Amino acid sequence: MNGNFRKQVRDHIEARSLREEQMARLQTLLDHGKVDGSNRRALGGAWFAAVVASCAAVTVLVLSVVWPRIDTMEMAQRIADEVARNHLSAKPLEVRTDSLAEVRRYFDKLDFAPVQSERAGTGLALLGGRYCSLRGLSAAQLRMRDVRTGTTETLYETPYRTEVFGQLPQPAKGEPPIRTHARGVEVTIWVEKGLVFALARGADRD
Amino acid sequence: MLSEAQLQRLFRYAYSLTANEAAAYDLLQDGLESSLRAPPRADCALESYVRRIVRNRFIDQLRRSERFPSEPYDETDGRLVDLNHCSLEDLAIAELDLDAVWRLLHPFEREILYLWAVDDMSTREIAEALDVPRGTVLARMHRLRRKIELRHGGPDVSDGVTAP
Repeated sequence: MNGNFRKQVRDHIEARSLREEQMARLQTLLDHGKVDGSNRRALGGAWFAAVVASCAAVTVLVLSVVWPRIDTMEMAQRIADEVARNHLSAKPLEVRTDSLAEVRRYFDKLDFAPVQSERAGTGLALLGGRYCSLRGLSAAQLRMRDVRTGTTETLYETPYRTEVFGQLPQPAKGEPPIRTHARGVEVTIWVEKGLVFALARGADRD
Repeated sequence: MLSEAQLQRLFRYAYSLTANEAAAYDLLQDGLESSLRAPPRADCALESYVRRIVRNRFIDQLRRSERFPSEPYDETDGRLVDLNHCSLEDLAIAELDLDAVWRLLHPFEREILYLWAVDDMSTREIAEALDVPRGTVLARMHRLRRKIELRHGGPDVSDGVTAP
């Protein structure tokens, strides 16, 4: 037994740390958004988008030097892990609507407009969306319900940057999408209309 | 910009609320994304700002998941708490048991333990940080202590609670 309860509690808590990749992901997220307590609120969304875009450009430049070649499957698995985690956590939607136009209006802080994918499948009813990030890039998360099965699917969209994502398949060029699994979730990844799409489906959600 | 040390502190604070490392990471990422969308005023310390967001988000999540406990944390069941028994310093617990006990505690109790053990705060400072009366903090500490002692067969601290 140890009477020094304060030290025990401190040791217990401090034994928990962000893993290296988690730390890197959060720092990338912050770098893109430049959270620094400055008066960004007064400057508005356009300034925010400009900062995100310029920071993303710098990050892309750095990554293009230090990370010249990404193995496609390894990257696909990383994307799948991230997407599956978010899919399972089912964070609340920030905008609830079945209108893509309304969703596009909501995502006015992104430097791209979410689009309808031709590959996401038919019979999906849009439920809404929320801001998120994918591999450190700002992304749109769209949640949909399969009208036939009633299951919920999550579609992620973010600009395709080869320096970040490496070579991902482009069905328009005859390359089949990558299908993989993470945490019991089936994740399909492809590039379309200049955007990376990642569709998560399956597994019980919270 | 937040340093690595600040991110680690925020992660550990989130862990103290969730008792789960994966959930703590999700909560922190969520808090950071939120702070990007609604940044703090220039005079507001970013770490404190994110910490507040993390706490509020966590409480929202609890409420949404309908797991929010109905335990009356701001009360002492109509009884007065003997302040002499509210200290946590002399608690004794086997090293390995802390993992198990940690998950059994209420999130607000783990938060108090975090502020007390990691931030080295007094009960008065904890009360200020949580924006609650000091008596509320003492009541929560009393419950926390009682839970631990009952689980470990320690002295029955009900002696420390007197009728009004």
